[in-house]
Amino acid sequence: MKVVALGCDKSGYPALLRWGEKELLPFEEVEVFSIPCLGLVTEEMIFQILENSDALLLAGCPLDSCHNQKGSRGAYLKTKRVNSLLQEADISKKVAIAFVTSGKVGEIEKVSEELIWREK
Amino acid sequence: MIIAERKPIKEIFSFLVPGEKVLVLGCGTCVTVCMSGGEKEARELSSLLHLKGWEAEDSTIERQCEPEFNLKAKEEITHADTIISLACGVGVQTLAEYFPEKKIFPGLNTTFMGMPKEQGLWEERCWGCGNCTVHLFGYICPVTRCAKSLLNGPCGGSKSGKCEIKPDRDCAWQLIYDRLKKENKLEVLYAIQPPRDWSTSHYGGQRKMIREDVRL
Amino acid sequence: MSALQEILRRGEFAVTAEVGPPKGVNREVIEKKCDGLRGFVDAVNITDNQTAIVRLSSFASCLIAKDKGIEPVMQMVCRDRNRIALQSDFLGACAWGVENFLCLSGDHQSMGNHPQSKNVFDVDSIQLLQILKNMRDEKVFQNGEPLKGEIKAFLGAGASPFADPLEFRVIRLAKKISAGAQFIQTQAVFDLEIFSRFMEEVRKAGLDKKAAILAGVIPVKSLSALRYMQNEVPGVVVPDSLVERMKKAKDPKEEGVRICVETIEQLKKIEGVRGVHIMAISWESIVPEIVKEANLYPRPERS
Ligand code: SF4
Ligand code: SF4
Repeated sequence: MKVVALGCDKSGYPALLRWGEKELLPFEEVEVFSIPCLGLVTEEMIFQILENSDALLLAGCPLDSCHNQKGSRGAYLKTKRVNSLLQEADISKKVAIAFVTSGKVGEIEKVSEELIWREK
Repeated sequence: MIIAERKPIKEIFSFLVPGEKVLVLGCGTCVTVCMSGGEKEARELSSLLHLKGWEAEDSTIERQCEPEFNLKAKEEITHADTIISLACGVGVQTLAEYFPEKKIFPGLNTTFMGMPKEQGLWEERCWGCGNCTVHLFGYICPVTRCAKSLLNGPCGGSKSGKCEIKPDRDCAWQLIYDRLKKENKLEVLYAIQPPRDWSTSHYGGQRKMIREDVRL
Repeated sequence: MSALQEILRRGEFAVTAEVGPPKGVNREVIEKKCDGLRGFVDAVNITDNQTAIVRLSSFASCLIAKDKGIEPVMQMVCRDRNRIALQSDFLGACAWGVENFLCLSGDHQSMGNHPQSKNVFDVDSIQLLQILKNMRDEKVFQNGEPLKGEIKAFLGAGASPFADPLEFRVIRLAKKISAGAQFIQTQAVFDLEIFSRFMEEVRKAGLDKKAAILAGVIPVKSLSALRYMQNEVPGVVVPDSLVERMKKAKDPKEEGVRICVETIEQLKKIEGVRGVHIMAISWESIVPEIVKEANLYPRPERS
């Protein structure tokens, strides 16, 4: 399973890197990128990424303490929307979003498992 | 504005033949504002078609209900095998009238003329009956908003401000009553409204407007 | 003049009962109900696809009732017929000697068994009253064209004293009466307090002098039926005290009858109430007992 991971500079990206340091990731291939804020993610971008991957993992600040206030919330809503469209269209690709503080990878692990679970 | 909602995606897929070139044609006016058939939605649908293996493109023109705008997009339209129109029913028909050789399918279900009530909520307001009398009813159109189009007051099903047909629908007559009461105009409701002349409405057959003064 | 009209004119307390036609062609169903009611009521009121459920037509059922020697009241709802069909059926029914008509808006089809259907609502109940009145008195159709022949018709309308907005209900009743309603049949009364207040307003407006008001009553068989009335039936208000009373009842059927009879006794005392309309939906057989218990038996003879 090929996963693209996008994290915000402030919290998500550092957490993704730490997660990446683990020896056993649950996916065959993971590409990690940074972005200034998840608020910049658009539905169009999500679809584009999904053209060449099976899943997109977004990592950003917690909803109530987003560095840019509405960034995570906006990304969360878009994730929901895209997932429901994918589901309606019977396309087995998906987007997940993890809310993290820079140090913690637990949330990412949880969410990535959700991606695998949904794969089955 | 005209309100429409997207058809279930599977229904849209069912219109298409594998391998054909698909154009998703959005409309930049009403359906953009009600977030069902604008640029964003056209792009989303073409992305989904792409993910499903179709060769899909999208384009959005200002008003699909006007021939000029459709003709401007001639190149993209002729290039595609099939067009999914994300305009209201008027837009779909205009497009089909000007491109009779094309396979065209509606991507939306056109539902009503209404207004955005709050973010994510639209409500019907007018039926286009051809003889507006909304001023007689506290600016709440009973033809449209009462489930029975009653003109002389509420039926016996009005309960706590809600209509008998669905508990989430306001009873138009409660709204009319409240508004006229507030304005001290309840006496308006004492007058018996005679049977309506529905011939100005859809019931008189398809309607046309002719303006000699502006005809060429 | 219809028997119902005559009885009301003489100032006698009228009794009518609702008869629901069957979901099929068995006329015996109506005949049996009529046989059971004959002598206990002044007229039977035959519903017109009530709650938007398809049944044998009110028109045909009225003729069957007449055959059985019982006077029918033909209900006409505005949901299914436009002014063309309504006027035509009115003429047809008059030609067959039906003399009482009750004009109603009708329950919305979304509540019935064909929710996918289109509705009509070309005219509303008040406009229908006006149309029928003009056909009778002015001998003209709705469009103003003349019609031929004498029409004998006693026109009625429904009233819903418990539906919202409460304050509008008297206005609406006044409109119905000025449109042509000569008798009024109310939604079922369980809450006598609200109803008395309604009647007070009605008297203040002098409406009780202009039309004969028949109060509706429904005998209920069980607690669940009463609860259903309380929660599901549009325009019906059931006070909690009645529910409590039903809860405690050893024999709910008997209690239902008793409640109904007591309600009628109370209604008789309310000035302006000129009769009762018993809606014993699919329990028509209980009507004779109620009529007797409420001291409304025997019914007055026609003069
Ligand atoms: S009266 Fe007719 S034109 Fe006016 S708002 Fe109602 S339906 Fe529309
Ligand atoms: S409840 Fe109100 S809106 Fe609904 S049909 Fe009756 S009068 Fe019309």
